[in-house]
Amino acid sequence: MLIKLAGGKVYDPMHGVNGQIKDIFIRNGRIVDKPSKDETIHKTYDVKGRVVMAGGIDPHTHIGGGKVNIARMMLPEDHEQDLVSRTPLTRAGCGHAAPSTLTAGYRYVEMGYTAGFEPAMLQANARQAHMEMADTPIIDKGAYVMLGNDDMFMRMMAQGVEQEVMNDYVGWTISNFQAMAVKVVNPGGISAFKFNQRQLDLDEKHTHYQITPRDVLKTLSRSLVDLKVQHPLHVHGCNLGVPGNVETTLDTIRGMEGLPMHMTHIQFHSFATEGDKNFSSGAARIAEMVNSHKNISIDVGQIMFNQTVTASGDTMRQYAGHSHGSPNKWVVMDIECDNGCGVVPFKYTDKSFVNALQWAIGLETFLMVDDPWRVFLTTDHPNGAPFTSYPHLIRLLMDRSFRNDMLHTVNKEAADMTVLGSIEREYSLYEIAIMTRAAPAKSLGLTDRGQLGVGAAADIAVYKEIDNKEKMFEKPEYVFKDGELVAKNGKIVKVTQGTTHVIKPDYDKSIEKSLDEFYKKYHTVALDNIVVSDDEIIDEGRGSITQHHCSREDTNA
Amino acid sequence: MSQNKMIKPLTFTLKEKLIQRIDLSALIPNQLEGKPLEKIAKIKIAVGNKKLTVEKLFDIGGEDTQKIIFKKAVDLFDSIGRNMNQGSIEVRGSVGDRAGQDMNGGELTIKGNAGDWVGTGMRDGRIEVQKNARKFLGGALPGQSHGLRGGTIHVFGDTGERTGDKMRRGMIVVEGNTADYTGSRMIAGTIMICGQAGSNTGFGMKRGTIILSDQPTSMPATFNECGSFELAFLKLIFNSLANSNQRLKNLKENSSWVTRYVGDLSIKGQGELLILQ
Repeated sequence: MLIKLAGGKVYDPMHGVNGQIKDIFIRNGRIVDKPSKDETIHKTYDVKGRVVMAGGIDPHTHIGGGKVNIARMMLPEDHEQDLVSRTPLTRAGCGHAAPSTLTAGYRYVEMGYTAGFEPAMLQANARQAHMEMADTPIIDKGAYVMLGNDDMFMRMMAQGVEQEVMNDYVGWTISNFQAMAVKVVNPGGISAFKFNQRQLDLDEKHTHYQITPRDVLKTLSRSLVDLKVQHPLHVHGCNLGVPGNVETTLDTIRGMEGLPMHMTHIQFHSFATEGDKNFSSGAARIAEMVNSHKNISIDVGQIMFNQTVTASGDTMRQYAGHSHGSPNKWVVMDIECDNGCGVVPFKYTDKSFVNALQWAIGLETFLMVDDPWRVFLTTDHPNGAPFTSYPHLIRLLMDRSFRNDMLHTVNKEAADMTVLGSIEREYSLYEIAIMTRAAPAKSLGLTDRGQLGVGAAADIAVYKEIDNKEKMFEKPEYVFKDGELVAKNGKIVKVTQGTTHVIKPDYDKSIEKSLDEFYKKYHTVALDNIVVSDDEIIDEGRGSITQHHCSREDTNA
Repeated sequence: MSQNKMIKPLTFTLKEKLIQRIDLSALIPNQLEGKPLEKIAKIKIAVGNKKLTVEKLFDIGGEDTQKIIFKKAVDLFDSIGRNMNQGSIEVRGSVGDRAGQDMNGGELTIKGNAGDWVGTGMRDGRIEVQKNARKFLGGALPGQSHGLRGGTIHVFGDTGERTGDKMRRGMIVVEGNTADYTGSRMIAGTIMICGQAGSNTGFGMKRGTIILSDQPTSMPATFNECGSFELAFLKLIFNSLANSNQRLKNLKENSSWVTRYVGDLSIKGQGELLILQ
């Protein structure tokens, strides 16, 4: 089957294509060269005047795993108010802030996204996370496994094992839990919380293991470089949400000494302490630091004014923030003595000084970081806002007058404290294509996604070009997943099953011996049973695994 | 105004026997206000797993959207008066579950029996059930933090288990008996029971007041008897209820001497059971 998308304005930053008129040909789910004249084209879509981009990739979205489920269970009102009926094609679902797996998949596709990555998969919850992702239709998915707070890691750090041994442990974890990268949440802090520490600064020692977050970050980042893992260490830093944490964040970046690192939802880590209320924006300093450190990439974790729910592995900070929860209910729990989980519902309002400033800090960060290849568009779904608010966010970035109109409606004191109104930058479609497609794909090492080059997977979104960018990005005219038309004008027309992206770094299997002993002694589940096999994901053909090579080149650090 | 009186209430008369449950939350005064009858007739209503128009289900009569009457109602009528905040709804017959859910004003009168969760999440207004109601009257839905949040629910007959579960504010008056766990997990507000309350009355009560005419079948061991009192506020409550409702006029004769039990001490322990002497 040969499909032609004729005459679209193509934005493909991976190949420097910026709005040129081009035909795109698809065969067997892949983008192919222009076929010879005598070949029959089975189907032609006239996309003249339409914007053609690769399918969107969300590099940080909580769509599977234990805490999303807790959020779902905790918020029946969220589900009751947002019911989605079944159609002949799609199944029923519900949920605004924490949608059901099926609804999440459909909604992503309906707005032109074709991949989403669950950033916080605990080892003990890996099976659950993969099962939930298997239930998320159409989009591709993958997960980042959480390290840096588990007892095994902390013990090894405290014993001062050699980097090679640590590399084996990290490699074993990635491979056996079917992960795409490694995330660290509040390095050492989740563990320290259980030893009655209620905060842990970058250079503060864990009272039991006597190691600091800085040690954890450097060791893990070094491991990933040694294992040639493409995506840098995905870091949710110390002191989330604490006024003044901008210093910690800057210190963290400096402390990496050139090692690659991805700082996630950096908006929550960019608070300074100026002004009467001891709360102000540190976005300018963060942006300056990111601009001058090429080893750093970020995603923003923009907040939107709406009811949502925060779900994080960071028990320490979720516990500290539980009193702000709305509605007033919360969960902070330990997971198998290995990690944590905290779920606090949140209602961000534009009348609140803090929320309004958070909103402005996120936008400032977007607009002040020069290189769109190193800043990804996220709301840390659902922590800042549900992913369905991306079109609105894109409009805020692309339309200065709209942004300033919005700025006039938020809390006045906060509006007076931000420089947002004076920033003139407006993102172009090319830059949006970078930050929502090409950059995440490049950062994750998805060699055949996020682009429209020959040989790439035909994940394509076609938008009508209209001035209101929110409307434009809300409902693409066509969405193709692996060459099949899956959505048309924001409605699902075909349901397929996406693949699971994984990496399998090389490591010395002898590490399993000491792990086996550890699991026998301390864990509730045996080593052989906790790991997730390929067969479980493939599930007799229902899912599939796409393995990427670990071949990171810039190991100069 | 005199012209207004001539307008007949909007009536919906069920055409055929229902087999599946039906969600009537769309037919409330604030939703129908200003809508012409032709439009109302085309509103889609969920029936089981299908959606049917109002005109398929009901014969429509009258036109005053602020005064709605349902005729031939049966206990498959769910969510009647949900989210209403003005006007009145009268139901001739029985209703299903969640009558008056999240109501924020207006009056809902049910001439027959009501199902579970009458007035859950209600903030203001008045619900009258003229026969019996089932479980969780003014109680919280699973996972919700509050049941009744304000307004008044008046039941002429009996109610089922967990009447007033997690209620936060407002008043429930039950003229008949209540089943077990009346006022369970109550946060605040007032429940008055003229008949007999079942076992474990007041279980997990944080604050709030339950006024009982008789000793309940049982109460948790974590309630303490605090002696007999004459409480002046009871006189005020009785008078205000008696004056506003003919059916409750006998309350005026009640004495305001009570035996007071305080609990549930396993929680906050500031709730009270007042048993009239």
